Amino acid sequence: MSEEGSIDYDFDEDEASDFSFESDYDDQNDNMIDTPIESPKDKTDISKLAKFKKWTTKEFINENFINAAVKLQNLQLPQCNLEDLLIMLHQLKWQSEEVINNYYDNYDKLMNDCGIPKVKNNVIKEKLEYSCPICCEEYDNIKTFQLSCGHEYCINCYHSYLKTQLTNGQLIRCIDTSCNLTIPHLLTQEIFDLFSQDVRDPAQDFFEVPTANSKYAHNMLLSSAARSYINSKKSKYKWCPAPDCENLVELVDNYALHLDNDDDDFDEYLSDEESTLLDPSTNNVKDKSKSPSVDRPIDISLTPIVSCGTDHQFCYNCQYENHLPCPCNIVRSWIKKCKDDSETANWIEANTHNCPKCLNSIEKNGGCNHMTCRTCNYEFCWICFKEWSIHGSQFFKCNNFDKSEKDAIELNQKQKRVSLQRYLHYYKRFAVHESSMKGDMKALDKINQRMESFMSEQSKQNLSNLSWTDVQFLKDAFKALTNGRKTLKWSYCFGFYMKELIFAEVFEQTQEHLNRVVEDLSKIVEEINDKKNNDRSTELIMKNKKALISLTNAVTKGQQSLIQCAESGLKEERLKFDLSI
Amino acid sequence: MHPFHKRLLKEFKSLNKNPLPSIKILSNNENLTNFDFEIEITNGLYDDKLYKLVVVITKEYPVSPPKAKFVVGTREAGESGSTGTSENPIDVSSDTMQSSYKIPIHPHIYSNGHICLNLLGDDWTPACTIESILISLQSMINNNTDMTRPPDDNRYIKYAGEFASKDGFVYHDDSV
Repeated sequence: MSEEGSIDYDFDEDEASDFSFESDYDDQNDNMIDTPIESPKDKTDISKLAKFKKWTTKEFINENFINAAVKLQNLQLPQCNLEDLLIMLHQLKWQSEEVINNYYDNYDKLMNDCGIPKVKNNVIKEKLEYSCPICCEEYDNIKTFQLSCGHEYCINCYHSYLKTQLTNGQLIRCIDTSCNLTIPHLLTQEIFDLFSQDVRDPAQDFFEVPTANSKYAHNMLLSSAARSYINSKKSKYKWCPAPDCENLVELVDNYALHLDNDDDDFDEYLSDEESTLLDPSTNNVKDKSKSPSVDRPIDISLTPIVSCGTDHQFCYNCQYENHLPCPCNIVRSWIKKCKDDSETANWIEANTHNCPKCLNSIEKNGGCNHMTCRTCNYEFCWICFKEWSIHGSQFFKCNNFDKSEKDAIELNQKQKRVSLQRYLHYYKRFAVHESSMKGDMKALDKINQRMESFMSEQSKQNLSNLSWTDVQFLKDAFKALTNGRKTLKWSYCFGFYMKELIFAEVFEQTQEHLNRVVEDLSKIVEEINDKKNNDRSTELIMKNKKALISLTNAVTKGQQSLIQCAESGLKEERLKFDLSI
Repeated sequence: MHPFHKRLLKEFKSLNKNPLPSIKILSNNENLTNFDFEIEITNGLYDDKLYKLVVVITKEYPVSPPKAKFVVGTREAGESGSTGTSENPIDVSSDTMQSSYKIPIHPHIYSNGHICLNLLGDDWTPACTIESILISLQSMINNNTDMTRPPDDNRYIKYAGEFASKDGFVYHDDSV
């Protein structure tokens, strides 16, 4: 068994087994997901520690950009101001050591590359009777902007220019093409703010302790820089794949450190790890010397499922939603299968014949057996696929019947048909849960809105006999429902690749149970959301509270036991995959 | 009417008043958002000498660069330039009094006319003009000595849209 090349992702006992998705409110400060060093399986297996850290984009900018500049100013370069240090860090891809080295080794070049002039004179001013060289409008009264170079343009043009420049995450320079001067981060935001429609709610910032960082708090250029920085370090950082979620997860451990700038290596590393998870039948192992390890049973508890700051769970490896009970390689194979045309190809194989001459596919949907290929005009017999002319000219009579040849073709066709039907069976169920999940989400959104307006109405009229904790059960139900569906959905992908062993029946029964409770829960949600019940939705919610709570628990339990069933089944090799399907 | 009509008008006037050497406007629409230019290449390497460039001003101009590409088409004879014999089988008109525009051979110009020029993408700023594009294209071709298509030409033209997209390019080699 090859020990050295394997990463094991371990999770806190709670993280891995408790899928109830408790709200994160109580452990917001503790955003390290600590993992025990002890391996859950074989003691001799040198399990390594995988640690993940949750970030919001804002925290990320604060820590890695702004605090980096503050630190430089406090410790190494007190003679520089914060703005210039930010520009230098931005220019040198946020590497503090590079800034220090360049500052002392080649000061003039650094200042030139960064577009920082010796004397600064950046002005936004009101101007009378100004004609802007960009838009060529004559303004009676307009704000203009110029950097120290004196290239002056109207603020409207500058604003649109900044907006387009924002996309690439680089420092923004003067509009004039021959001019290298950089617009400082604060100034870019100042110009954006001039055009910003929404005035920021002061209450929102109320709890933030005003520091040097706070004036950079909503800096759009820094956000864009963060995006491109994070995207350039894909092995270390993964965005949460949930729609509209701006959180990310960082892999913090020794692997990340020594593989930092080597994305390819890391990917290979991961896929090596996966290849040890592969079924031997796939022969997908790159390195033959590692082949003994493919006998190792699959352990899906090692799947690096992480959760972002707002509770979205995803697989760090695939950067895809939580796909348990399926291991990563099965997921990849499934997604590829669903995407590519292999099933179309299977249909063609199963339902058509090729013209014996030009090999064009022909579907015979009736008519006689005297075929004429539309492409090459070759005439042949649909029964024996030989030239038509040998069949005589009068009536159809095919004596050229070669049974073995014919049988081979038909057997092949039959197999293709069965395989297609099998795929469709699982795909249909997979897709149904996916679309139901979307439907559920819409319904849940509506209920949530209604609930919130109901609550605020109640508290306004001082009628409130409900508190937020009283409706927590509703939120729990929403989470359980979507997560239950997700697991169900992936269990059909699991089922598709599963070999027909005796234990498979146990898996299917557990799956069926989850299916039932999920549908029950979904039904109540649907009923509450029914237009007919528009007026009494809150009443219905309260009436069904008990049922909702118990179904929520049932779904969570069912989900848990399905994953556990898959996990133990795979571990004990009572469940196996066949990737050759 | 384009939101920056005044700017376009100013550029158009300046192009007419001070025409660029070896470049002429073949046609333009009333809104000044579509232009056909004829660019003459005089470095002696290009047999055809005359090439037709289409420039389309987008709604976002001048914040975003215009779209530009070379196009094929018939050229009225009797106009300036060579009537060099053509090896292109599509060009059946060389016997008559017409000849045709072709796509100039250049390591940054795809055979469908799309141009890989950073001024048309990342390097564009609103201070650039149609004229700056014409000048850099003309000099890009005039200074070229490598008579080849881009290395990924076959693959690229298979999937390319009507115009080159701003972000789709990898600038293969900035030396030419």
